Amino acid sequence: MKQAARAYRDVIRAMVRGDRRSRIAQRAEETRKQIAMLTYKRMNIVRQQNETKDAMLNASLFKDLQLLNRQVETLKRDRAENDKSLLFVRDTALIRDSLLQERGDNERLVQHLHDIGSFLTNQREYDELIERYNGSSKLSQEETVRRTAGKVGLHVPF
Amino acid sequence: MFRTTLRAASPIASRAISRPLVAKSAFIGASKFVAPIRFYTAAPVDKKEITSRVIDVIKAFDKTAASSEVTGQTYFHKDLGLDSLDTVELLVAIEEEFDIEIPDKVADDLKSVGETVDYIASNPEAN
Repeated sequence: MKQAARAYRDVIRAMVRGDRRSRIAQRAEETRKQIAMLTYKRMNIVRQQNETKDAMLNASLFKDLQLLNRQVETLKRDRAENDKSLLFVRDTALIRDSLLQERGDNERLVQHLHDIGSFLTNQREYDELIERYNGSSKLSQEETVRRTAGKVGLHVPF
Repeated sequence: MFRTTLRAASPIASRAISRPLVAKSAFIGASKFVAPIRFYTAAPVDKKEITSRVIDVIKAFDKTAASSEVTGQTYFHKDLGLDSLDTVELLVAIEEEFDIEIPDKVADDLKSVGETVDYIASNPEAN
């Protein structure tokens, strides 16, 4: 049983480590999109405010605006790094069940889990190294253009 | 040709040696007034903070049975109703939270929140 638990730990550890960074990045991207959406709504409300003369409508628009501001603030304060739920693998039922079903002779399964664990770890390290040695691969198109212009002494107009 | 350059260089060299001595003594004098601060070690995490962070992690774990009351004396199996595999998951999450790796031998013996906190506090790499 101890061996099985250790193999399980290997796999879970590899999965959590591999998953966490990408999930944090994903969360940040989602937050960015939501903020952009809310900002767009805010702009619309301000435009409406400028057009109407009606005091009642204006007041309700002002309330909406405040609500949107508050939502943006909470989104900006939300830190994915502090979210503890990212420390867990979402669904472990498959590995658990296969471990619990095989009573007695589960040596092969344990070995298999160890192998999966080390494969995931090595793959993650490989990806990290690839990323580190190709520093420009993660840049956005705008950033690439800006740097290319900077290399020949030009500035990209904003 | 080289001999001439050497001869020309020697007075400069002797002057260069004498100069740093002055600079050095000036530096020693200055350091008396400015207390040096060391930045190369992070402040150790204190036990209370470790406990609260561990409890936060436990509360985020959706398989815990009675998550309302988690203290240092809480046992993973008895009080939280976790089986050995759940405990493994929880310990991995705690590892990741503190950026450490608990070796298998130690992790097999960790059975309560208090023991885990003690281990993390004894680990110099925890942050």
